[in-house]
Amino acid sequence: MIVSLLLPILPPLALSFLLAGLWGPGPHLFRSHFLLKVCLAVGLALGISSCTYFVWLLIAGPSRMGLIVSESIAFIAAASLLFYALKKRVAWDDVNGCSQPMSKGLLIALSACTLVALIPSLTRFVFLSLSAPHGEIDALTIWNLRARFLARGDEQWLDSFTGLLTTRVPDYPLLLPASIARWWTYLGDEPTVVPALVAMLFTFTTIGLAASSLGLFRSRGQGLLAGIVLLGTPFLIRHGASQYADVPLGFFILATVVAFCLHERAAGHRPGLLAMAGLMTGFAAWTKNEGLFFIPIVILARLLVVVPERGWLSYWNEMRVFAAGLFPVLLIVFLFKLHIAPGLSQIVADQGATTTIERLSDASRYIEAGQAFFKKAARFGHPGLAVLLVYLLLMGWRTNEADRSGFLTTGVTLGLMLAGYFMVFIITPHGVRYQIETSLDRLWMQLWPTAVFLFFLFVKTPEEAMVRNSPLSGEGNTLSQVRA
Amino acid sequence: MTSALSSILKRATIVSPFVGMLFLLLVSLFSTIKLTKPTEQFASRFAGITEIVPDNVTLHERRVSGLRTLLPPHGTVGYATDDDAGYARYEKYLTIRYVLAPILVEDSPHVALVVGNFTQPATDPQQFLRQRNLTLIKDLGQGVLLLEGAPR
Repeated sequence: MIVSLLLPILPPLALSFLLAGLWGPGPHLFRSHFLLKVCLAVGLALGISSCTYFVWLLIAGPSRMGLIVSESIAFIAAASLLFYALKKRVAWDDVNGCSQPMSKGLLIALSACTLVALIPSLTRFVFLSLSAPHGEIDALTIWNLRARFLARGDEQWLDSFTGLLTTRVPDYPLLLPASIARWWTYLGDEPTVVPALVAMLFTFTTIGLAASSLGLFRSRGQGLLAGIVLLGTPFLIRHGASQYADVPLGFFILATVVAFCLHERAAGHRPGLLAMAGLMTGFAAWTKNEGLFFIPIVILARLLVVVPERGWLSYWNEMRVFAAGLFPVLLIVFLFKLHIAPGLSQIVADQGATTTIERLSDASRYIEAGQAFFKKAARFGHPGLAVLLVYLLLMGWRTNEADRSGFLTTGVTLGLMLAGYFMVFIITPHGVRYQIETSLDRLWMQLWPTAVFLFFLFVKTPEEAMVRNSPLSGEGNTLSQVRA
Repeated sequence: MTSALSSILKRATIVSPFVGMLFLLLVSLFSTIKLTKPTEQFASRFAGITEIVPDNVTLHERRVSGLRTLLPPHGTVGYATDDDAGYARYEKYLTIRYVLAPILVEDSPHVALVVGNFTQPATDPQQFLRQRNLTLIKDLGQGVLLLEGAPR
């Protein structure tokens, strides 16, 4: 039963795993950094399959057998090409970010703590999904509703894009609905476990991606600590189980910066990682409107980081490969927005030159939004930024030259995203208070996994911090060293 | 004095990573304890296990399941309810819209076929229908009615 339930996702997952293996780190295709590749492959699989399903609906309309046959042919053809490309794969013997080995006892203790944090998180996720199998209100009115129309609509599948079903965001894109509808179409049934499973995959692969990538960039201990912090963020688990699109968007934002960091580490061995970053950015835009806003921010962040370091030519070459991954998905997004979506989001549609300038020049809006942002920053996540700050002061920080560009890209992207979200609060037509109450938590959630990733990229690893009179001590800082 | 301070700081440098990790682990693991609360509630709710109470949406889905055979597979139907205006009413409308998909549900009684959703015990359905020019086609029980819509 479980195999038949998972069958629809297995072909795209296998294909995506090949892609992650081709572009991913390590000398071995499958064994090296297995968790990292699996996490990337899950996001790619859901993104790619939602696109193929949507394109199939547009071209041929709803036909279960047609979909299965055409997708199978496409996936087999793509897998053949990938197998051919894999023969030419250059081995990249990545070096672990931390030169200090961690004691076995400490590693076992951290692994045990991760398990202790993982079990209640998984259990809670399952119970939340059982108590609300159709998801919370936005899942009912946007994501799963659209999935039902796509899967049940037959020739009238476009009915869900009429004014009757519009909310304030009629142009929300279709990665989640199309992934769920495709899965249901394959099964020929609509079990509520499917949207819950999609939500679970996104929630736990976000945590796995942060932990496994930090395990590569810094150390295994560092990765485990990041995983524990994310598992100890109750809102991540609760919101993930609500079947909203914020956690999936957070996954794609994190996956994009991880792909850029991997590209920096690979030092030219894996140009495909830039295409992967482009794909992940495209999938962010295909998940939620905030993802569209993420595209120019990533491009700008790379410009600010790459041009001063390596010049315009290097930036241009990088962007060409990035665009090769981004454009196919972006084409689908624009096709949907321009020809199918019944209108624009109210937050965009309700802007006018006069009203927007009025809002921008109203100081009280800045004060209200600023206060809300700072309060949220102090308390968000359960460990929260305040706790992370104390941890940073106790452990110290270290900048690794190999990760400098990746670190800067992540930091600039995060800063620009936060600034952009802040400005949305200033120009919102719904009122600042309403926007704070209804969306601030969710917007933070989109950025929280990336913020945790950035933090652990910066803070010293336990291994580094524990070394007395470490040779690395000259490279890093701690509170006591600063005081001394 | 300076050497004593320096010695304290040196020790602090050695101890602080352990303190830092312990602090982070305790705070994170403590917050995961919070995660177990709904599980306990869920377990205690079903400790006596007499029946598993389905969620609200599933209940609505069961209530209106009889409508499926009476409604066309596609198209638009209206919606009439005795709920007071407000968010609770809107939420019920959204749920009906979700459970009847892919039929479009317009929040208006001026459509040829109208789904009646009655949840207030004090409501007199006959009077309600008369006031809104609606005609009963079929009473499916549990407050679910299929109605002929009022002309616009």
